[in-house]
Amino acid sequence: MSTLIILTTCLLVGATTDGGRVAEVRSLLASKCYACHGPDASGRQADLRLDTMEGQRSHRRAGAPVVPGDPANSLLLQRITHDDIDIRMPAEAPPLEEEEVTLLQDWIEAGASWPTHWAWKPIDNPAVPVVNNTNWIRDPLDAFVLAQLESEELAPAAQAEPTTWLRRVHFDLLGLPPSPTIIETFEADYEIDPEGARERLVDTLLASPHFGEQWGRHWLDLVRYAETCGHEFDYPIPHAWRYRDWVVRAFNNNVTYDRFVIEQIAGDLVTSPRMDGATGLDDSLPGTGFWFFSQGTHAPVDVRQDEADRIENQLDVFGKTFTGLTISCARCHDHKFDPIRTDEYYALAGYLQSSRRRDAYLDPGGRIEARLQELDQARRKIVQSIVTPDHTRSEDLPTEETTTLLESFDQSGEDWFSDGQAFDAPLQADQAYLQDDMLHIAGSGQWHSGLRSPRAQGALRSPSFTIENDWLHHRVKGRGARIRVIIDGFRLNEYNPLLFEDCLKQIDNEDWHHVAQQVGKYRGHVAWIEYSDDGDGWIAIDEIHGSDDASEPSWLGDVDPAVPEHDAERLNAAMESIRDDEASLEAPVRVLAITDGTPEEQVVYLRGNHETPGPIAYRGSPSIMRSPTEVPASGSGRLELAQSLVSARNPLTARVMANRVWHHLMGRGLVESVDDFGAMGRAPTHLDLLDHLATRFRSDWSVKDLVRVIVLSNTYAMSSSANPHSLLIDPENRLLHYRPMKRLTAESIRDSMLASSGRLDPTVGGPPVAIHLSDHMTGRGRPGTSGPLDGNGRRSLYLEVRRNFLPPLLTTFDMPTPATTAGKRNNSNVPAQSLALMNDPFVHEQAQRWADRILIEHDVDEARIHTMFLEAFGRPPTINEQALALEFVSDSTESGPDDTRWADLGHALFNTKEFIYLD
Amino acid sequence: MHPCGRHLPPPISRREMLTRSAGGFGAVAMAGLFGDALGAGHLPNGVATLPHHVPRARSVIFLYMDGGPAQMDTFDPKPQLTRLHGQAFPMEIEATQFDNNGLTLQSPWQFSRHGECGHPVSDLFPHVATCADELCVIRSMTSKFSEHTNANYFLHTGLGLAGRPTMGAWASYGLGSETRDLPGFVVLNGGLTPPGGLDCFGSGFLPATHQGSILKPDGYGMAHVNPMETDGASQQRKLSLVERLDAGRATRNDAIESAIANQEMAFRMQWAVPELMGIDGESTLTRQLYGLDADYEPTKIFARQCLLARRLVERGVRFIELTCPAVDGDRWDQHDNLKVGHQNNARAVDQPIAGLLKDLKSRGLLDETLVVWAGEFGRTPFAQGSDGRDHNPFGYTIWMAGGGVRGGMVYGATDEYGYKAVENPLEIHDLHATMLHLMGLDHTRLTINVGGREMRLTDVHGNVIHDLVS
Repeated sequence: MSTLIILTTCLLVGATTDGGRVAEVRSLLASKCYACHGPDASGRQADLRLDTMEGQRSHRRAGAPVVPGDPANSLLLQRITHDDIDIRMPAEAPPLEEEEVTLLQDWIEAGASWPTHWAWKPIDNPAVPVVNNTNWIRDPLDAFVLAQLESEELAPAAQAEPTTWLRRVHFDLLGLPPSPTIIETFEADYEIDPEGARERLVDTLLASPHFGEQWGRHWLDLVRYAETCGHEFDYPIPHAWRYRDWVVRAFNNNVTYDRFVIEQIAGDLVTSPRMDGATGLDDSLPGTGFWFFSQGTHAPVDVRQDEADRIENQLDVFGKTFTGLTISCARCHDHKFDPIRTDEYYALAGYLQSSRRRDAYLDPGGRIEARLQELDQARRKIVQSIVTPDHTRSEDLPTEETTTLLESFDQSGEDWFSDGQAFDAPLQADQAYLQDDMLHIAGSGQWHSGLRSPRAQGALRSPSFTIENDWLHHRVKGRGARIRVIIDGFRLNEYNPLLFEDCLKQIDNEDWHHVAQQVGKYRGHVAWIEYSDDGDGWIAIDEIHGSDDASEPSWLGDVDPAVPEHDAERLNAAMESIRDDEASLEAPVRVLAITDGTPEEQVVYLRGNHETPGPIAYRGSPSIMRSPTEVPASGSGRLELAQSLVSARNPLTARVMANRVWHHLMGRGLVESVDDFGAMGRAPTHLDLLDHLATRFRSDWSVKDLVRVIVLSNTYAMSSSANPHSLLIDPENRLLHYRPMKRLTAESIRDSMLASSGRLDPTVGGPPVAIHLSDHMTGRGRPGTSGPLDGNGRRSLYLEVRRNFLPPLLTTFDMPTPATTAGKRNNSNVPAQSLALMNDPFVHEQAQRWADRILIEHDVDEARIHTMFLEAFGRPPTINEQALALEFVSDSTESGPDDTRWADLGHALFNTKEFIYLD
Repeated sequence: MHPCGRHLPPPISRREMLTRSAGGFGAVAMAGLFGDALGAGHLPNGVATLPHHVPRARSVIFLYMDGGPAQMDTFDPKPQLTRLHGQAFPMEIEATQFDNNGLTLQSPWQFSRHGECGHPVSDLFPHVATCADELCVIRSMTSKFSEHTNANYFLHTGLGLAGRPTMGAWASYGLGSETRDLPGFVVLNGGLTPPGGLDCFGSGFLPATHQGSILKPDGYGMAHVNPMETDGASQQRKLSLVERLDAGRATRNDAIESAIANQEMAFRMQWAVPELMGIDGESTLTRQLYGLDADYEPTKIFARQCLLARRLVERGVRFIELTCPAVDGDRWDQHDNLKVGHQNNARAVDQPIAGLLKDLKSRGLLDETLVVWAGEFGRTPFAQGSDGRDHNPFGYTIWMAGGGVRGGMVYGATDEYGYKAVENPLEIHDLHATMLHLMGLDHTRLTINVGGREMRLTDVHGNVIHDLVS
């Protein structure tokens, strides 16, 4: 029985497209043979490749592995069916299943065609197939589905009931249940104009701010979104939520997908950043937070290894999320299954080596800069009015050459990076300036963050350099500022200095002084220096030296010239005139972001080991993306990389996203392995349909348009009850003859309870709500206080995502661990879920709130029950259900007050399967 | 029926279950056993034919020694350290976690030989020493990480980062549970959650049913097993309404049927867990054996954990992990004050572990229960500062007992200072491969397809160490 079904299914798939059968063969060869006979040359056995036609048909001593049309003489067949287990392939593994052998046999018999893997081919715009039942076609996409069903003589399922469809589309688009008002409005509308009613509803939903929350959450699964680093102390990832809100906004504003992709990879480099209308903030930059949700350990003994692991995670997420490529498999060896070489992996790593993480300083509406420019001008005038420019030139003292001068800012320093508003331009020697109401003369070239206003904030970063001394010396002065050395991109010493004790120094001395940092442990490592002024203080930097001991170097510019005589009272009065302007200077908005550093090419780490460096891998995109990338003369080149992903030549990006949208709406992708389009992924069930959707999607890159056409299609509107005959022939629904039932996501289950109870706070965006801590949530890094049990009624999206303290109710219902891209959630069905629904205090609390509200809103029991069913299931109760519920709430054996019985009813409804399943 | 799961009718075979499943509704009753393997409408690869061979161990008790006990202070005596005590350490020193390396540091404890096999055991473990002949001591374990969290993830999941399924989850995934009322993988949390957090017990990309259920050794034990209703009738009344509403549902499929079965199991768990936790019926002798009434509070906690571990084994739970109780001072992580810190940690676990081994043996359960004692790494033979030891992943000691391993043997060796493994060095992957082997599972064939790739606990590594198998 089961064998029959498997064979039938193979037959169906084989019949679908040219990709179909060969794709199955390719998956089989990939999973069973490529590890030793695939693209990776280093592990290849017998010098045989089975991933290319040349290899398959190559001449061996005993013949060819594949002889088209002649399975009996094909060595491949002989070896996989051999009786001697020492000769039989795959080696040291169980033999292939009978169906698998048959698959290969049939493929060879039929000529062993070996076209390019479907995913690497350009996106085709296939003709819409002709179907018999044209009435069934609501959108051209339906024709692709129906054509395959008709060719197998399968009948699609009937259309779902309008209210069923309504609940389905409402959850799929917003993640929330339809309110009774929406249900009633839709039903009335549907009576008059069914088609129009559906369209109007979908348009309303697409315009809802909750659309971005639902689709944003899907996206966060891809980018391992988290607000802490996990590991021992679960240190924070500051400003992470700004990225979350950026994602929600992008989906709500229907930012075109190509732009959405570009901004995550290189939103810092786009020529005309988008501005957020409400806040006046650069709305392209926050997308780059994408790169930085990796986990992190606080005191890596091998910091370069730590960096390599971090970059692997970044590239893993980058590859899977946008292109469905498992790029990080090529970190230690060429990819075993797909044509991605190790040097291509390191070529991508070079983009990240050339970039840096930062907490950017965003200027709302450009108001900070505008105000600072006014202040600059005022200050210049004040200086001019009180200083005569003829004071004596300061003399540089000769320096004894015991240290290496790294930077003096005298005639150099153009390659430094200024971020934010405070570091505007370096001071020249002898330049007069005002700081804290006092006149000063710069003795030599220097940077100063307090020239414009002590309230201005910003950071100054050095070019990358290789540490060649035991000590770094800084000649600085300032208050409330910091000096950091960032080694191999490591930043977690922010929270725990272990092993990096000297890398972070607080500056609180307003006279020039010497700050020494011992970095000898990290000789040979790549580092950069960061001076930051993140508040009302300032910092001035004159010189940086390197040496092999801690003693103070002989500075070049040792003494500041005397301040010329001036009228202090006049100065005071003049400064008074700008005090108000200064006091009202806004603080910048800090955002987790990326920025370009010094361009660096990454060397290949042989066998993934950074201690065995190999040749340089010049930056560029993997050839399999089919969209070569120009690397600019300066800068990281991330923008060009991003553009190559969405270029017309790239066959992956549009397909991958179109497939993701289909996956979320239909419950399974046309390519089931949504994050892997390579040889080890699943073959598409409907390649033509995928290409049709990708073609439409790519024409305007509108996610909302794509969602709209799918949810308004007849395919989407099919019932979750399959036609029995179709189910028998195609039990796995590979041909899409019905739209299977889905369980609600973890977030939707919780949000639905809040919606039912009336507790739901529909506020969109903002800082996360502290996580509620149960007694079972223990461990280091546990927050000192627990958040509210009901998360203040906010949607689950806004609950704090602390890696070591994830919300148990949500993880029980398969919210993924934020480790890497998780485009397809588990769909588990376990007793712990029932236990949570039965005994979680949150669930009880919401049931009680629901009862309290219903008792106030309605006087009559029948009306109460009616409303509760509408709110829970999107439909009124049946007569039988009404009777059951009535009997339940009026059960005289149940003592206790009225509201308890109604809360019990609410709690029972939460526990029904219908509450958490979507037909 | 006896509450001991072993006396239940033997679990239905997977092949039989598949047949029933294909035939219609039959599979539903087994949903609790196999989690969403059915609920999701498909069986993960490989699982249908498990176990791969006759198992030696039906259950595993993993005694996780949080922080990393020092090998040269427990089961791997190094007289050379005593000779060189206070002198510069003679070998080249690898990078350490605290980079505060001092002089050669002898063990503050004496070793003596125990049992017929003559295992040397330090004075830290007077009780465990009496079980010497059960212990298969591995002195050549290595890790790849010097940081707690990476090493913990590595020890538990085979990868040094969070997100992969832990060994208990793999065992549960591969073999299910033999009880219908309790989960297949239970973590008895004595109080110290390992650095790295509960992720050490996660199911990663395996279905959520396989994640470790955290059981505290006191109170109600598990989250959500205590009904919030003030009287039992009230919950039953609700659930009976739920049952009737569910029964009226138009669409019925495997997922719905599984969810209904889960609700029934959840209902039973509300009784099974308190029944498990109710140790009042244990004899005075048993209480004394484990040290349930010891003077030292952490000993009492760990004693309770060990006793509950035995009760879980009796009920057919597949994999049980114990975390350490908090003692005065830190976990086994003595960066300073080694003597007091190790003394306290040993005092907390010594008698309970010995009690567990003896109790299992006397009940005939030790033969089929694999007990593993391991930290995430060992400690350095040179001091950190003056009187501590830093992390050392280059060679350290773990031991196994029962469940098909050869008691009374020593495997592998470190150098004369106990710094690095020099004879038969093992990797964590080998430990995993061997543990799975003892459970009847071939680590190369226990896989799940994730995004196109067949993932396994041992990744592409690991060898079964047959020398350890009796």
